[in-house]
Amino acid sequence: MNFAVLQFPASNCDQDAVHVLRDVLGHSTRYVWHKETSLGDADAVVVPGGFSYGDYLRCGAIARFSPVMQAVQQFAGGGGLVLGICNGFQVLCEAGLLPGALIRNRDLQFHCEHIFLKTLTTDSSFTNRIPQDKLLKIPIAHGEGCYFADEETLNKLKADNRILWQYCDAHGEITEQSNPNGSLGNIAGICNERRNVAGLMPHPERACETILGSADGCLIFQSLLHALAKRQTVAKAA
Amino acid sequence: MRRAADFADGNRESDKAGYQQPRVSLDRHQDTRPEHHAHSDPHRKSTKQFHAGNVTGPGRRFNRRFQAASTNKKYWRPRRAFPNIGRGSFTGLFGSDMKAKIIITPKKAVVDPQGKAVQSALEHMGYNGINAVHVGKFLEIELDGADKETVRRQLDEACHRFLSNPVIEDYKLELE
Repeated sequence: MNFAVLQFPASNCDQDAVHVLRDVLGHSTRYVWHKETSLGDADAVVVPGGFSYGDYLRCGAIARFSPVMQAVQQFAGGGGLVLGICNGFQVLCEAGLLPGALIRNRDLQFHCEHIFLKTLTTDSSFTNRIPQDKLLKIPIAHGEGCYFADEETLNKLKADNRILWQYCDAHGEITEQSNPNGSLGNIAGICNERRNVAGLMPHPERACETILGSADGCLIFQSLLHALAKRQTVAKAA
Repeated sequence: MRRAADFADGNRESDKAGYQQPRVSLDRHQDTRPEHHAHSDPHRKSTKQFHAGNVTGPGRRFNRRFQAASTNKKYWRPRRAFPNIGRGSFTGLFGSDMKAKIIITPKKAVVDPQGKAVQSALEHMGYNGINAVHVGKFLEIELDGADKETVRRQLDEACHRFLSNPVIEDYKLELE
């Protein structure tokens, strides 16, 4: 599979993402600079974390207008798989590819810690390889990860089964205390209506090798690979 | 010390009617018009140059740039802060200086932890009777334009598409 990892000025998780995709999972991966207007032959795109454009104005607000994001809009419009991590999630929300917005953490603190994620549905290209009842231990590192959307949008997300991950405690209970940033409904990650674009605040790319304390993040990338492989067999058969 | 009454006079502008700009027909999520590329600053060096591994010393790089700046006209183009945002130019044939003031505040439904922190600090300092504090942003934009209404329309669009996020923020635009 061919992966594209976007690079904005001040992206800082791009290399982690490339390391996981290329070295850990062994797939061809290339950086795509924010001024490029094409994603090449990419099968899936990762919008990495960081502080694109210094987080000026709002997180992701400026990156959303960069040339490469126009290509991502087209790619997503054509059904291509796009995963936004942390700042990438913020960029996708600003771009309108995902609903809602991410605002300052409830306690105004930057949170850098391991949290637990509950996967609510395996019916997506990003969660299909995650065993049911498996809690993902994945780090977060953000100051503005409080998910907000109006009530109508939230209800729609719930009704369509589009909330992919929620923050939970070590026993899988969704509690107020296990919510690190004040996100509505403990939401950590969602997908779009077509289920081909997803974003999450935690960093799965930082939890793909046991030496890093957890390899749970790998399940998300393996889901992505599984979905891509399935697509290719369908395409070949047709 | 100022008395609490000075603060809680119920005179916040946003409480008055007509505070919000009308937002009809512009839905950023359904904006299918061709997008222009923002922030493709022609002077910015790609970080790829750093990745490429051909390390040039800071001295050499600086000298080269410095010489170029004094001899090569291409380094003398004035920079525009936001080259490609919005369609059309603000400059008309009979342009005149204008100033736009944009106040962006969090929507009432959005939790504003910053505002809450400021409010509680004010209360700790002894300023009583503060009902709410909302921390937002203030932008001052200097521009040329012939027709105030055209400029207002363009800025209104820029506010909606870029300067504010309608999901979480309200804005107020003033032109003078």
